[in-house]
Amino acid sequence: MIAALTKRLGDALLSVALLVTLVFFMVYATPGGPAYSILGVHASPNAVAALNRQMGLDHPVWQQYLTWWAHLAHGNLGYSYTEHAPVASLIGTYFHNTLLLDAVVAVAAIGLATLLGLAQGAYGRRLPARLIGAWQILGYSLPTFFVGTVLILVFAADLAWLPPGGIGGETATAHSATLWHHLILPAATLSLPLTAGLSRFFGQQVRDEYRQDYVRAAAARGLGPIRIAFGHVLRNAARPLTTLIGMMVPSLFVGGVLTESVFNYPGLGWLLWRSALEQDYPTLTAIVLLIGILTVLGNLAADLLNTLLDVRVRYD
Amino acid sequence: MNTRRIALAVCGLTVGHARKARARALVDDLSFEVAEGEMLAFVGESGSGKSLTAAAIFGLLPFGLRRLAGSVHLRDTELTALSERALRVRRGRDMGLVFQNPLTALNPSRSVQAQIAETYQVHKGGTRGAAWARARSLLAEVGLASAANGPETYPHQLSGGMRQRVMIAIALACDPILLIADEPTTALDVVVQAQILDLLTRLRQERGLAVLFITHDLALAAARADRVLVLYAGRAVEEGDAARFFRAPCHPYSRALRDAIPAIHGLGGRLTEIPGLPPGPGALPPGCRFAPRCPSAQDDCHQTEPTMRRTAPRCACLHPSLETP
Amino acid sequence: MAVRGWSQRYMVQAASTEYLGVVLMLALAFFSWIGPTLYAHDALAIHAHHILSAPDTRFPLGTDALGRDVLARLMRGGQATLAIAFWASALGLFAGLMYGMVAGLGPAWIDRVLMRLLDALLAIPTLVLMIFFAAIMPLDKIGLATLLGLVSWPGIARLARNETLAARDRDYVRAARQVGAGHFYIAHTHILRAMLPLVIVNATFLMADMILGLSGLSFLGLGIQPPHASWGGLLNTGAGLAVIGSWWLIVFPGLAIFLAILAMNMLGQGLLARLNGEASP
Repeated sequence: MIAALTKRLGDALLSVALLVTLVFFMVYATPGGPAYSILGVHASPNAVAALNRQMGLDHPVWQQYLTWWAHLAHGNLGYSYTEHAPVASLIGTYFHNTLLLDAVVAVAAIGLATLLGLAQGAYGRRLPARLIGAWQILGYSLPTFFVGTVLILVFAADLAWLPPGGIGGETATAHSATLWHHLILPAATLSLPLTAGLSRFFGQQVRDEYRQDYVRAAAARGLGPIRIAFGHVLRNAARPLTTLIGMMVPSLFVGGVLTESVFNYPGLGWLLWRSALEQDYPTLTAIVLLIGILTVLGNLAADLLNTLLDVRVRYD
Repeated sequence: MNTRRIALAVCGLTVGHARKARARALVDDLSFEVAEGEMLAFVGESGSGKSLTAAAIFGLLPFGLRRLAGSVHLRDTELTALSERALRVRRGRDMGLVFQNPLTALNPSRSVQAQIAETYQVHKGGTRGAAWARARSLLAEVGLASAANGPETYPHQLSGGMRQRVMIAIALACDPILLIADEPTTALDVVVQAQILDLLTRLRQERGLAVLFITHDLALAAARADRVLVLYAGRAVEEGDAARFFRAPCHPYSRALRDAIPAIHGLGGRLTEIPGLPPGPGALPPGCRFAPRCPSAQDDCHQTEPTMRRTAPRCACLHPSLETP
Repeated sequence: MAVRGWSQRYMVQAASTEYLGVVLMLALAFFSWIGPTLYAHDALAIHAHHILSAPDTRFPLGTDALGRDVLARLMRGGQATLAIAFWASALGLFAGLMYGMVAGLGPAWIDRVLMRLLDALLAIPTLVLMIFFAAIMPLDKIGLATLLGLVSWPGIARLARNETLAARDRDYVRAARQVGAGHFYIAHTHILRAMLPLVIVNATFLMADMILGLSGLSFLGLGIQPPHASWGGLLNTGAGLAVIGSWWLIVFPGLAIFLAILAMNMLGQGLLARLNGEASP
């Protein structure tokens, strides 16, 4: 078990190392290079060369690559020329906002998906299950940016019940009093496709479980449908769900980029979007790297959680 | 035997498709009784309606099937008149069900102690501690000392036979009147099979439990049960005392079943097989259902459907073999 | 007979999902390519006296802030969106198949290296990669299709690799190897054919992802640039104006994107259900 855990951790570390390398070469292979994005496309070659020298971009590849690692090891993610701040400190607040939004969304989506999936699985092929199935296809075919825009149109512009965006404070910091108010629409938007996808996957798991003998056996010893669903089926059907929740991390960010942009919610996705529009390389690179590492960690966490939940787990 | 109380009385039970009126009944006008302390064996090929009968008694027919007629009395209670909620209370409390495959009939992610205790607590209430104590004593009763005294045990830690003992312990958790064992030993090897059947025999003697033993194995039925009921294509074709039945079956189908059993000592003699297949869903031959495969079928067998004889030996055949053993 | 009746009913139900998807997609393609030849207005013509006019008989879907007809722009936008998404999927499919089959057929160490690399790539969500590259280089339509195709193949690659591994141990493939068939011949005649159904299903989901990705990119202002119309771009420019009353600027492009994604998802789901031999939900 210890050996298997070390192997799993080793895999994760290797993935992170490859990721860091990959991102380095993505930046390195950029036509024009970072200097152009800082100085503008029409900068004079002399100015570009000077800046390249200043940033160490005239060194050989392997040297730049080592510097890249050294900087990362010290938590140095670069300096944002558009925001005039070190990227590491810049990302902090935005990351915090994203975590807040994602936590709300994750709780809502997992809770709803569990209920919907259980209902869908329990009803087998009967009408309620079919209706849930149809809703799921619609749910994850709806683009978040469309849903978000329509929600703003209805609830912010027409009805004026909720704010159209932002978080009610300075760009990246919020007043806690109005924060929840500002979270409702983005969270609803981001939850929709996630709930649809999760509940579909989970519903299939549940349906498979309901075909098992132990469900019939549980009914035969007088257990009610609620107890069977939550006490017996849920536990067995949820095992693959933990893996899926680990894989949810990237979809949260993907949905997050679009949702945060629609609502001007100052999170990591919004920052990614702004830095892409302003060609703020260091920030862009740091966010890509951060998202990659979070994904690897998410998968790792899901695996570990599975080991804890599953008494029958076997390592190969 | 007549002095004992009747535990289960099934009368005219008919099970068919809920929506398709024209499709044939899968269990057709079936009547039988099981007394307390008695073991009745249900014998038949797969698809003959054995397991559906069990499901109908429990009110747990698969989606799309329905009880079309008939009544089920458990002691004095008419089960078919109960609401789903009231029936649920009876399941597991007054009647227990043991499944064919003990590998899949236990929830893999909960300990066997918890699964027994849950059943007890749902029906009898009481504290968790009392339910667990009950679970441990039941495990001891079915011969699983390690699980009875040891730490929490999960199904994957047990062998097939041990799991079947757990299933029996669950079925017994609330001292039921009736135990239905649906092919309880089919998935087990021969030695374990005998142990499980010994356990069932002991339990019904000690507890006065009525047992409905569903099997396709006629030899097993004859060796273990008090009485045997043979089903063919959803209909009872013969019923009687196990010893008499095995010596002198009166329905040609029963005879054919008996002759298909390989005898351990019978070096001579070929095994006879039954030609053809039982009728599929939908298509039923006119007259006797077994006539197309029957070696002694006569003309009238293809026209008239036989009814069960009212006197012993009870069988549903126009030309029964009534030799006295 | 009863059994056959059941299965026939299932077949009809299973079929209806994917047929509906195909019909929907064909309708959208017809709308985008044949539509402009049947429709009076031009996508770029400016009607200065009809700025932001609501849908009426003359402009069935209204006009935008420059007085351009929304329906005509929607048709043009459909061409760009669907064509780019299609070619990107084709490219992604091809790249993924190649990568996966090389990993699956090559020696073990190649497989390990390629798969670790794939893990690292899969860790970055496709849309984030798209944004990254779209930010660092301005792209035309061909460039966009290439970019989308090149960032979207890892999923297909993993599938192709796993299917290849499964297929190459089958007896008929071993037999072919015994009689001296080459890698290319085996890959092409046996393995590709064996995994084709699953690949087709995943290609339809890939196409749905591409439509979403491209529209999302354009919505963020990083995809197809004005004055070229695209569904995502229309939504982008319409979002601000919709809030002050011009709802038609977002509802119709949004519906178009939704329907296109829905069509591909329905097609994929239907095919998948058929592949698994069950009725669709």
